[in-house]
Amino acid sequence: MAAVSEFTAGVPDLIKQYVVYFYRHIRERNIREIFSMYEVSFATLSERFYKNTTWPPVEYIAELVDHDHVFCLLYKEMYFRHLYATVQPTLEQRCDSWDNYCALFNVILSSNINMQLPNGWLWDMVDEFVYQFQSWAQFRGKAAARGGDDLAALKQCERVWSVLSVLNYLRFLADKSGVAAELSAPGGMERFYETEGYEAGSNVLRMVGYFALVGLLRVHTLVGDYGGALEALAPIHPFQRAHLFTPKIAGCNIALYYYSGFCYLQLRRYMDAARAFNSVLTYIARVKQYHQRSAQYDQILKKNEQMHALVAITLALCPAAQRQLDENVFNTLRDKYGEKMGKMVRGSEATYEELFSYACPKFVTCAPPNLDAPSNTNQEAYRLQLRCFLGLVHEQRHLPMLKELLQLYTAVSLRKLASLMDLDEATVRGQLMLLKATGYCKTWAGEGGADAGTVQAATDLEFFIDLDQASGQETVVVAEAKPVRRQGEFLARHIAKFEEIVRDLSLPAPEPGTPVKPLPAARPVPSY
Amino acid sequence: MGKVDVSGANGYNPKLQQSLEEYVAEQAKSGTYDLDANLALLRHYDFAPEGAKLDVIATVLIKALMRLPEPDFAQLLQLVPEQVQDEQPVAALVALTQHLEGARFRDFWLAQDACRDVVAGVTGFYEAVRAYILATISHTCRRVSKGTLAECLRLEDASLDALIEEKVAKEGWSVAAADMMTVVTLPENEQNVIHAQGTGQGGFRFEPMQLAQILQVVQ
Repeated sequence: MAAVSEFTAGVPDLIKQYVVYFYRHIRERNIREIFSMYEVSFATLSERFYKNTTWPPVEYIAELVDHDHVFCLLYKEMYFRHLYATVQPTLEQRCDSWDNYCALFNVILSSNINMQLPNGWLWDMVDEFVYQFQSWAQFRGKAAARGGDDLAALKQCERVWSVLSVLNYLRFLADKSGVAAELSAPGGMERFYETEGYEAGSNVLRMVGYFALVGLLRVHTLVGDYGGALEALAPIHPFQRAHLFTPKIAGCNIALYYYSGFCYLQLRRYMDAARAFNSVLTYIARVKQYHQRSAQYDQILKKNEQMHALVAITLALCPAAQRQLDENVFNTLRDKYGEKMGKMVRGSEATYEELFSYACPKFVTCAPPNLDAPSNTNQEAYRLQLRCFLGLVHEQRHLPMLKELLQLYTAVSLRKLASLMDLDEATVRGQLMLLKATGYCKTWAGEGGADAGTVQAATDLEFFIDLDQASGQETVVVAEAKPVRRQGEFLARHIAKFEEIVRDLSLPAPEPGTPVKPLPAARPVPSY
Repeated sequence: MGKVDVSGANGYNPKLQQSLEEYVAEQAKSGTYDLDANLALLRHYDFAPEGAKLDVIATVLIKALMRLPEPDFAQLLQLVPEQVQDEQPVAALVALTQHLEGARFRDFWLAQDACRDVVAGVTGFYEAVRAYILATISHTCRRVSKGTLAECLRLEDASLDALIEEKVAKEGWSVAAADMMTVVTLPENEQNVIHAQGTGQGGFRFEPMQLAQILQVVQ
């Protein structure tokens, strides 16, 4: 550090050191050091020096790192992410961050990067990119309260954070990385899972490309395009979990299942929705203890709560989806949402609305607001999705009562049913058809992408309408599927659990000072 | 004019908007259907509403309605802004679909009288709707009166008889005339029968892996 300019002078020594070492490790491709400086030291230093303010702007540290172009872009990526988390970003800062992401992604796309970066960071990049897009849409949509100067400044920024540019960047990153071909090749998933993208040259483009697929899933979901979301995700598939890479990065795995599960719910694929949420809720229950000190811990807990709410909605709309849930998930769900599920099943639209608005993603209104006649548009997308959802709920409001009645009989005349429900016969016949239709939904059948599937039964009540030729009377014949008790599975699980406890107890105590070796399989594999 | 490729980055290319609009018109005329392309078009409209064309949106939605019981209509509607949903003819189409999905066929036929012009340009609309209604009935009913069929499908005697005759010949329907009414027996399908319940699934069944584990413990 020869010439220290006035800029650099104000920066604390520890921070200077941090930047210098960080730069050096990145140049020397020292992946473990980079990982710990990124994951641990950055948070510690932020807490100590920049709790309520931003890190030094890049000009303050550029000299320390030879004005290295790519390092400065990376530094700014972290700088802005910290800024968004700490203070309310200004219009100018939002634009600068956009420009920085463009510059960074352009460098990555031009394949001029030879560095290795921790996969966790690369995921954070994509995740933050989409978050800042979402944040921009909220910011821009609150147009009503703005003054003239503000509006004029905003007009200059039409291209910044536009949904098309965001989608295109993610698509290009995914395409250019060649990750789709790599994963689809025979043995590709296994290799990707084993090497975590580190094997050859730089991991940056291929991993950013991989994470961009999850980014596309999320952006499509945010604009209400659920079919497109699941399609864009290919070749990643939430139900092909052998050698699925995402569980190695908690944030990525949770995003994958939260957004794909939500898409399934909105596409009325309840069995798949329950299945997706079930697998990630089990995952969170298993790994959350390892993230207690991480900055993402609160986020993980929040998503955990939201997804329980979404499962509650799923089961209220399609009780048979309970089949997809593990016993533990179902028990937790009953504790958390038992009462609300009861209300939803009894047709309380207010409860549906409450849970939906709590658990849904932050939808994005894509169209720019009219700045000449400003009004608030930031809630438009949310209201649209809520309206579509409640429309469905409203349509099915009589079904719980009908179902309850049917469960009392093995055969009942349509006329009697109509009088019990206080509706006319034709309406009840229609309601029976609607009930029948809701008992079948598209479900993934083991082949094709996440958006593929076949229509399968999703009901615990079987019935049909028959007509007696002589009397001309219509009768509903009913049979309830008896709950199948799976004692076998229950016992097997508990035998295995018991055995595990016995084994742990009989292990020799570790020598003092030696680290405890983690048992296989039960722990998540740490990923750098 | 033919299929428009909307895979990958093409799905976000605003320059394709016009070809996609022409493609919709072609689908309406020829009776073909391409959900992905229509989805991409509505996405363009959502991103840049000043270029949105109400009549094209309506055609896309009619084509989706004809796909019931697939949830295509609902899926596309999630991309149509609220103020557009409140405009005619979109509002009317939403109501039509709700009637069909809610199996309120009487209400559907009453409501569609007001939208005849809108659906007139789409080939095969009534055929598709009747096929859906018929499928819905046959999923729920084993036997049904001819009167109910006529009301749900809104067919005159002659056309209904022709339809029934065709189904008797091809799909195994049978017809019996009783004193009070003509009764149509529909063939069994996956949905309108009661399956054997709970056989062999409960109780003690172990997966091979579980069994291996247990045996290990017992040793």
